[in-house]
Amino acid sequence: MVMAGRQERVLTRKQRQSRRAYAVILPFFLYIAIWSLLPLVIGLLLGFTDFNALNGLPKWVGLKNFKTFFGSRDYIDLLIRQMWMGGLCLVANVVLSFLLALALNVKHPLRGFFRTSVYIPNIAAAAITSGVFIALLNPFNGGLNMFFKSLGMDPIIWNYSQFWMVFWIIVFFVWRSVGPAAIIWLGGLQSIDASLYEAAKVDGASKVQQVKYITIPGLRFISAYILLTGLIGVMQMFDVVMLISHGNPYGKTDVLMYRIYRDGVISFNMGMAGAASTVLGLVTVLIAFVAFFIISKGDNNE
Amino acid sequence: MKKLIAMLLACTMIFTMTACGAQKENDTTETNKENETTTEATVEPTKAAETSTEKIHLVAPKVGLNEEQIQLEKDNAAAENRELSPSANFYIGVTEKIAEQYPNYEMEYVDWGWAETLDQKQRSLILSGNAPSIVAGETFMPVYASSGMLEPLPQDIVDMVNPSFLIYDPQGRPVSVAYKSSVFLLFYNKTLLKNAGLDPENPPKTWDEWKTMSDAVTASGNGEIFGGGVPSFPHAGGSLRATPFFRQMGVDFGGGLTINLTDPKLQQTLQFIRDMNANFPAGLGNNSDEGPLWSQFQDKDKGTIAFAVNGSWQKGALVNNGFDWGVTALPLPEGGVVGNCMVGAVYVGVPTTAENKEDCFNLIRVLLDQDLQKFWLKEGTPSALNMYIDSSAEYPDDVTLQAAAEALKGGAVKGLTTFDKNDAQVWEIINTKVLARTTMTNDPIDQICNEAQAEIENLLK
Repeated sequence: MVMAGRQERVLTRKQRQSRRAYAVILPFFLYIAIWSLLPLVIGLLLGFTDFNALNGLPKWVGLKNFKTFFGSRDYIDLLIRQMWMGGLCLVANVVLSFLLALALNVKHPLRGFFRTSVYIPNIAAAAITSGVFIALLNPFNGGLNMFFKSLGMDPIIWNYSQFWMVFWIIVFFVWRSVGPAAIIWLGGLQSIDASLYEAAKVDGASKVQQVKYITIPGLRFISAYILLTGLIGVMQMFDVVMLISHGNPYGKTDVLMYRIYRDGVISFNMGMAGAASTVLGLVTVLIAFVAFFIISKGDNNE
Repeated sequence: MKKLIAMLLACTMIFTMTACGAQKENDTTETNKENETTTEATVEPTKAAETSTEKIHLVAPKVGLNEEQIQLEKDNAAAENRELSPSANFYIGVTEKIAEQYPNYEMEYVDWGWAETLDQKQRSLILSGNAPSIVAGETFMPVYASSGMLEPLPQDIVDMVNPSFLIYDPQGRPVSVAYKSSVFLLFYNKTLLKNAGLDPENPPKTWDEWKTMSDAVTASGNGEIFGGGVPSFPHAGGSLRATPFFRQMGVDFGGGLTINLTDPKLQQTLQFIRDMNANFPAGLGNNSDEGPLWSQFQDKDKGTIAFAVNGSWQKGALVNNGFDWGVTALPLPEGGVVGNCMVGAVYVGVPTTAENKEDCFNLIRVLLDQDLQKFWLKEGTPSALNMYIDSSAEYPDDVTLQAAAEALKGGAVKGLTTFDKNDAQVWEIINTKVLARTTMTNDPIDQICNEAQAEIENLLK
């Protein structure tokens, strides 16, 4: 007799374990899908539409927004500026955080205090700390120019100069980001087997040789992490630009991510925001792959 | 397929953009058909709501204050040992009047911020099909109007206000009204003029006179005192103040799908703005932060700038800080015409998708109540009502309000022009790459304008 009802399926132990494991991670997958994947897909699709959130539904316009992006020098300039300004921020942050980590690794009674101190700028409210920066840069009676005047020097009109505004953007970025990166470097430094340094000392290696042949190779994975996450971070950097320079002087410090923000929630040109986000995302992925390839190649050679 | 994708996008946009929608507690039996019939301008205010017992839930920003906000205003006034401000009195008065005249209205007075924050919140709600009863705003309200999403104003509202306070839709119908607004005037510090050997009772009437006087103050100020000029802040604060000067030359930036930066008269005005900028402390007239400039003009311990182009509200700080000050209409160029720009306006309108539209218009009628509007006069802000623009009987000694009313009388003052596409981005280019660049660099003005013209044309395609 053939059973008409539902057939009971006997699962193997491995299948049961897999199901339990998926059940555990399912809520997190759903969370990521709703808050990350869905906006990503929406952003991608919006790039093919004309939509201002006032006049009904999005209108399908095909590749029009992408043609505007590549047909206009403005967006390309912003992308290039995002890359070089982001690159400067990244390099400065990686180098300074590494040096800071070396300093924090030195045994000292106040080491704990300094480790905490370097992290504080990162948790302080950016709106407030940027306000302090802006007050310092006030061209007429800001703190820095008052100081220069007291030394008999001419004041600097910071906001007229692309160089100075980029400089202060980097300073603010590094000031906020150096702490967390230094703590990660520090974790890496402390994971290196101390006996290697002792053996090197016995062999007569200098401090520079110890850093070159023990510390840096020992930090390969940490540096890969810092570089890759840093790279993605600076390609999405816009808050620092918005808070410190607003893209000024006359757009010379404007970056693509800040433009996407303005296209999206200031101009409500959702189509261009979506198209520009897609291009920026693809460029970021490409750069990250290249960086990953270079790092992996180094590992293989080793 | 396209329709399906569009539907999906709209649904997901609603989901992602709507932080929290206004509650719909009102009667949902009203049909769309009923809404459609109310899109025609209503002629007379309804009294139905006064006698009706049906509860009507209305959500309105920038209309009144909730109990908590009223208490906060009162506590602040008590803590600072002062009376309630005219502005607080106005909003409390509106709240009380609505409660008295329309007891069946369940009012939800919401504070959604101002500028971009308010725009974002309102668009989210409109998009989610949960439009508030009233939408409010300043610079973005012409965009709402041109998109056709505002209901035409009833004729009785249109008739009671000065046309300068109205915004029109593409069909030429008034769809939004500012219940308060100001225009730009030239304020001056008489002490600084006197110290520079100038007659403080004889303010400048032309651009040339103004430049001569401002140059004289700067020259005698030894790097400590400055004449002042036309601010070119790289944001709306710059374009709002510069626009009257362009209009005095008979030009504007364009509008709709056109941009007009290559006009010689516009470039001539930019040259004047650049020349006048030399009378500001370096970097202050075009700083992202307006605060330091106003501080130098009006703060008690400062007062280092002689002239300031500002709205009528400027009077308050000058009086409170004990300055010997004066005010006059903006100087005119040779052969120019009177021109100005609405500023500090709070426009309100009723979305076409709002429910109970006639009740929404009743809120606007209360905002334009002639007794309540007197609070704005006390604050030094012109009222929207014709009766207070055409006659100065309510403010016989207020020279600032009289000067502002004089500028508004013709009913032809407008806010910033509106562009049909990428309005905010176009204005950003004008603010940063035209106005600020003009005063920050010595780049040829025609080059500045040509580059910006090309960039903006691309955005308007």
